[in-house]
Amino acid sequence: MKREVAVLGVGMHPWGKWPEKKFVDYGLVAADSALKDAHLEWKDIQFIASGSTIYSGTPGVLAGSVLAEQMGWTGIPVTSNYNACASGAYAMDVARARILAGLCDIALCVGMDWAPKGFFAPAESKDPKDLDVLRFKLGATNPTYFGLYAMRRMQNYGTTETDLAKVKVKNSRHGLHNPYARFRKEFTIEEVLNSPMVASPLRLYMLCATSDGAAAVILSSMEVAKKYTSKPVTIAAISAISPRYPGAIIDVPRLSTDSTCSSQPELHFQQEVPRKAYEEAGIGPEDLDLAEVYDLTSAYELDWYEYIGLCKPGEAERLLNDGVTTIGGKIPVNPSGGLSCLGEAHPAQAIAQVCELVWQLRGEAGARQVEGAKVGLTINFGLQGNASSVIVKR
Amino acid sequence: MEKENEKRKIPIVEGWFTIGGGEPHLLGNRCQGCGDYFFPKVSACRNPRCRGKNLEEVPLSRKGKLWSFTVNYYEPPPPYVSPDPFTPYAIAVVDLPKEKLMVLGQVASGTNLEELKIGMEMELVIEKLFTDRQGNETMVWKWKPINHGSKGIKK
Repeated sequence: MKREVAVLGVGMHPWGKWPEKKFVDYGLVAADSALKDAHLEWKDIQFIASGSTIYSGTPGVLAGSVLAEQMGWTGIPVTSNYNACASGAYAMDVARARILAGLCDIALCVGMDWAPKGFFAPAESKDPKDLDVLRFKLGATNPTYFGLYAMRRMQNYGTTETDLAKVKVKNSRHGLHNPYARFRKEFTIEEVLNSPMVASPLRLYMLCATSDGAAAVILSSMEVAKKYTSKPVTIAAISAISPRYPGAIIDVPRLSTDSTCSSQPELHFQQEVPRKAYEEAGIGPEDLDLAEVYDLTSAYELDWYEYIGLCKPGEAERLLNDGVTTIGGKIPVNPSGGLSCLGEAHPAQAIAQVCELVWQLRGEAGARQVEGAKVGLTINFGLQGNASSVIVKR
Repeated sequence: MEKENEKRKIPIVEGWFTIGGGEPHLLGNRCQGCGDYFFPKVSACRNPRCRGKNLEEVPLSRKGKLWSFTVNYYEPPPPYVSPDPFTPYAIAVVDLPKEKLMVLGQVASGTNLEELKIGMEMELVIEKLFTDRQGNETMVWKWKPINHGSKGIKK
């Protein structure tokens, strides 16, 4: 059974840092842009699913309701969910389920975030064994976990610092043409290699910054979509799943892996998430025209080439160096510039990736257009067993 | 009774490792149903095919292989307590072969960070993490290269 829904409209607020603004200011711009793009009015929206934002107290937890109040209460159901970096994907998953169940025709999905500058710090906790607090006391910041993975990748596959720099150079060239990107500057390999070391082997320009921003998509049933367009962009799969025990990779914020005495993992969580998306869409990696993956670090982007099946383990550097993943190559990755150019606004990023794919599939991506793009995949990966992959088709 | 001006050594978390008396160990637990180990200890087995409720506290192996490491050059935000001035430190993940799990920790102070190599043998030590305002020392587990400084372990 096909379980597709259509994307009627998409919209974003540019990503960056505006300390004086609130998350709802970003959300309002993104939602209104998506309405305009869909040729709809606010009163047409029958349901809102929003990612929560964690640095704005209770209003942030109830982000969807704060946005609905700002747009003017219309009596519709509104929900807010928090699933770390996969929050936006879960919002789309809930909206899709209501549409497919016939409970509504048109739903608005939003992610909006305001975050303090610099390193992420843990949320306050009264639990003396709170792992997220403890790992920060030990000095295990997010970049140190990323450094551990990157160092391991170098050991396994011979990845060089220059390879890592080239990921940033590629994404910076893509992001130059993205009006919503925060960093629109072309980097050279030397600039990246001369940036300060943060968590070896990762330097400052190999890591993504924390940003504010928002993204919105309007989903509808295929039936309703036909009133607006003969060839809608569709959501062919949403894989928003949890891991399977045992987890053999040390994930943020854990201090240990699971023990593999009694069983071995069949697939890593990072492999399971796209596999589920491919299965749902009935396609494989060979069908992709482009991908937006979670490039929180340059090394991570290379890992994702392999996890989503673009190549075998250890071949990602070759793909990068051959230009396969650059716009104009066989399978461009992060044509938006990725998180490297946008920065991380984590409850919004899964939706922002879908916005980019929709613009690409409609042929509206301007100077960063991937010619003839018809099928795209996204990847997000976050704390505490939250990850997602979305497949968008036209 | 303790003297008021005497420094106390306080574990970062009560019951996670042995303190004093012989070689130090992390304290995990082992499920008597499926045999899987856990660190930190869990109240029930997390293996979904087992979900056993009988777990015994066990000292974990204090030696393992370095799975990966990183040197952090930026001062983390609180609750990290930094020496003044901040000094870079390394984080290691060590693979314990018997328990088939990996444990993260800081690398022992005084280690030549240039000598860290993935795959090298590491052992557990208990060290000061920081000194609080009252002068008490917060103790934590760290990983230390075995035969650090000798010529025998290179690469």
